[in-house]
Amino acid sequence: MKRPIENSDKFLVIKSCQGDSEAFGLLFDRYSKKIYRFVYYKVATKELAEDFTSQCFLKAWEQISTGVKVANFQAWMYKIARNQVIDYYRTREREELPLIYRDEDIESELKVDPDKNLDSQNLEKILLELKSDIREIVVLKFIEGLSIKEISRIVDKSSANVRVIIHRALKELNKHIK
Amino acid sequence: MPERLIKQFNKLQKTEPSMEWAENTRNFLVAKVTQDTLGKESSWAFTLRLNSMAWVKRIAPSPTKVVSFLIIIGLIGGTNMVAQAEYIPKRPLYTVKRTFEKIELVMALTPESETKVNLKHATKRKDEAVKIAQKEDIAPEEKTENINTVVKSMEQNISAANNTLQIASESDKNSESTAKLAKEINKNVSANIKDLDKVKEISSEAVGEVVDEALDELEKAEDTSIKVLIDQVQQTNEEGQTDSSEVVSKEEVKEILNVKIQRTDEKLQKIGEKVKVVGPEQQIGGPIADKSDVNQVKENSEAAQVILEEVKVLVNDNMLSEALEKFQETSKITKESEKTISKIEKVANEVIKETASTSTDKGGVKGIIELEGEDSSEVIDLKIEDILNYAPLGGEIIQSATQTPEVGTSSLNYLYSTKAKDLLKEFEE
Repeated sequence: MKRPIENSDKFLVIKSCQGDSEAFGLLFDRYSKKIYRFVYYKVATKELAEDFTSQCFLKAWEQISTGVKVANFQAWMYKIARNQVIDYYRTREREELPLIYRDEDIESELKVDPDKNLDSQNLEKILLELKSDIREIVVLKFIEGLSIKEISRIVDKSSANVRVIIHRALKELNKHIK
Repeated sequence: MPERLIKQFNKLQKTEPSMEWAENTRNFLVAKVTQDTLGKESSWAFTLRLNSMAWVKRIAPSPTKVVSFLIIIGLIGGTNMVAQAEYIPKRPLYTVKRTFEKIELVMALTPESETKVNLKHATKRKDEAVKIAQKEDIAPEEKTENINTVVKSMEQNISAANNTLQIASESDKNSESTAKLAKEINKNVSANIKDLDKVKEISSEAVGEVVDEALDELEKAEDTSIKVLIDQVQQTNEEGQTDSSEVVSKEEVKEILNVKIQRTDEKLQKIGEKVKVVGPEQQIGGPIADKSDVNQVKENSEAAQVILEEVKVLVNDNMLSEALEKFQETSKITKESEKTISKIEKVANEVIKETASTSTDKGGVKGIIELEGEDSSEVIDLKIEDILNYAPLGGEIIQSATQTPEVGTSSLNYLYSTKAKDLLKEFEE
């Protein structure tokens, strides 16, 4: 549902820039959980996800305070979060890469039987075993409910590419739940 | 995607950070914003941007509204285009067409533009009348009703245009705009009179009465416009203007008057022909018209012809006002003669019908002959010749008799041709 102009992201960003701290607080309320979930399914730990989310909002504020124009706040925030996680792991040694960047076969490590006991925890595990680029798209599509177009903007991939990845991901997930 | 998977994904949406973290982070960020913007004055441009945002959004229509609006406009335009082709007043699209025309008339704000719209509509009505009159797949009653409707409407348009011209000429007799208006009305009315005469010729008697009324109104408007143009010419002459900027020249007015004279001349000739046809000296089965009436028409048409000749002389001598006055005299006489001859024609038609039925009862040509109390081949030949000569257009009767009669046509000409056709056929047999 479309928000009234006084309550739109764009308006709140401008008000924040003018010094309305409560406006930025509202943006935080609106997006903190979404960004947290997105980061969580990237880093797989609660503490790290919280830390990244805080940093993400701080970075957003730094940019807003300079008067940057934000067309789509939600997509912009996801992009900041994504870049932060990538930058973080890039600066660290490769051995410390999280599960998302591991390429080894995951099926052997999957201990759960999805057909018999498929709960959210199991799905979470299956999700975390997916390749990082696939997983982030699955999270944005099926957990956050974003459109293909919005996702393509966040992950810097074409809409067709995103569609193909979603198709492959569903195939992979179906394999586990059958 | 399997429903079970969807449900599980929905459950994953409940993955949330801790409340404590959320609260602390929020407070930290709010404090940070306050601290960073403390003492920072917001620029006027920024305030303007903020305030204008809401207003722009409110004023600017949404794409959905714009698209809907365009679709509606497109539909209205399309309907109008389709409706413009409709010319039968009883059909629903015709009502749509007339509604658009009413809107067009309301949109005309100045008397000049209103007159132009009225003239345009009058021409449309005339075109519709011609189309309906030529239409063959329509019942005669319906045809009459439709023609009457459009012709009455045309009469109203012309009457409105004439009123505007009269008001304009009273308030500013010699203005260029009044003269232009008069010229426009004259041009329109002249063309419409010609076409309406055709409608009258090919339509039934019931249509003829309504068309006559409309023709009267058209001629009134024509006279008003000519009067205004003559005044304009005289004013130009008095002022001594001879440049090309004049709205109307003397030659143009003379041409307009000559057209009018020619039209009346033709009418008088037709009356003369009809007088010959229905006159007491040429009849089938006894007199069909009152002799005094016929003589009266004859005398009147001759008098009108004399006056018309005088009008021609006055026009040639550039005495335009006098010519117009004189012309109105002859026009009045011509109209009266036309009415009288029309009545005589009506009676003649009835007599012919009666004669035709009687002759059929008694056995065609023989029947007629027997009515006369004679019975010889010589007399039959004479009677056939008599019947053929009885047609208003002489020899043309044979040609018209071979044509298929049109439904609803009831002119004397047609009756004679039909009768002649029947008689010829019977005689041949």
